[in-house]
Amino acid sequence: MGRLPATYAGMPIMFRCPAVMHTSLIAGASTHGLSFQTGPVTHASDKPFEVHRMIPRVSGLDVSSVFVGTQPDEDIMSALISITIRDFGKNRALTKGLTLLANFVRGSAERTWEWADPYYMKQGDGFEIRGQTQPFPAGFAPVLLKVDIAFEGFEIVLAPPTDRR
Amino acid sequence: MGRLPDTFAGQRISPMRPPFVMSGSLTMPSATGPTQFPASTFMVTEDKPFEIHRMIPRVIALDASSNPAEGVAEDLMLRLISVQVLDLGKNQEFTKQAVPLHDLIKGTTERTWEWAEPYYLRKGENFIINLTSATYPAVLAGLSIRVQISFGGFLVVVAPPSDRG
Repeated sequence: MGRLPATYAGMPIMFRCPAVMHTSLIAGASTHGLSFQTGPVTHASDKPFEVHRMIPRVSGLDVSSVFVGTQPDEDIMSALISITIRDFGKNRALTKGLTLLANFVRGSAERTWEWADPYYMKQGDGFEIRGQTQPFPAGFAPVLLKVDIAFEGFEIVLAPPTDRR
Repeated sequence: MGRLPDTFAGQRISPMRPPFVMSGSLTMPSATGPTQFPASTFMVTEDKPFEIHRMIPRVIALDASSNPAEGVAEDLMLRLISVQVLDLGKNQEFTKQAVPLHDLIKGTTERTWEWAEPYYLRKGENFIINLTSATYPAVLAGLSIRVQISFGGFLVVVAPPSDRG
């Protein structure tokens, strides 16, 4: 877990509501120019979103887009797709280039990209996520991969301005 | 484990925090649209505020007789169920849209959604939780998934106002 700042933009943070934004995409092997939907990861609430971690997950699907019964090892699946992330509200890239999903997470037990210092998104800010998939290995059961990316944290309630300050 | 605040609504929290859990379960067949837990399932009826530190999702496969079925990986079932959470009392959405359960938890050892800053529910406040299921693969033919969701934390004993301050 990261730190919990006491203030945001100089105003005390009074309350935190758990929040998560999530987007997903389905892709086959060797596909370039993938683009996740930005709407689900655009912050629409009037409270700032304090993001503490990104959680990437990959699942294998068959040709009918149904989950395969025996999922391949997630380490393998997350080495088959790479992404770039940009906060379009601040025009701030979070990745220099395409990065394998397997390279974001700490390990098998904690499969998250933890942000020790939280990142803030105002209303209208959002993440633009693009990606590409690698060729699937021989004998790989899934035909498609479903990539889920969630941003977890809190919506923060700020103290209103007062005449005391 | 998140932080343990000293105060609630400006009043001192007694060092004694009775551990408390609030849970409910719902059985989800394949390819089922949003299905809501009964509103009372996640309503706080205690007179003490409920300080919530984590949400714990668990899934188990059930056969046609509602008996637990073996042989289906929990990791697969967590991919098939999505959840939406709303605090009705504060009209605060925790999820922008339905999020797969496996995209909420950190990893294999910590299968929880940890809230570094605890969240409070007062008496009469409740969570509205909706579940959605994807199409189940062949390994789950004839089976349904029972989803058990619990919120773990403490009831907080708040010191009464006194003339001692």
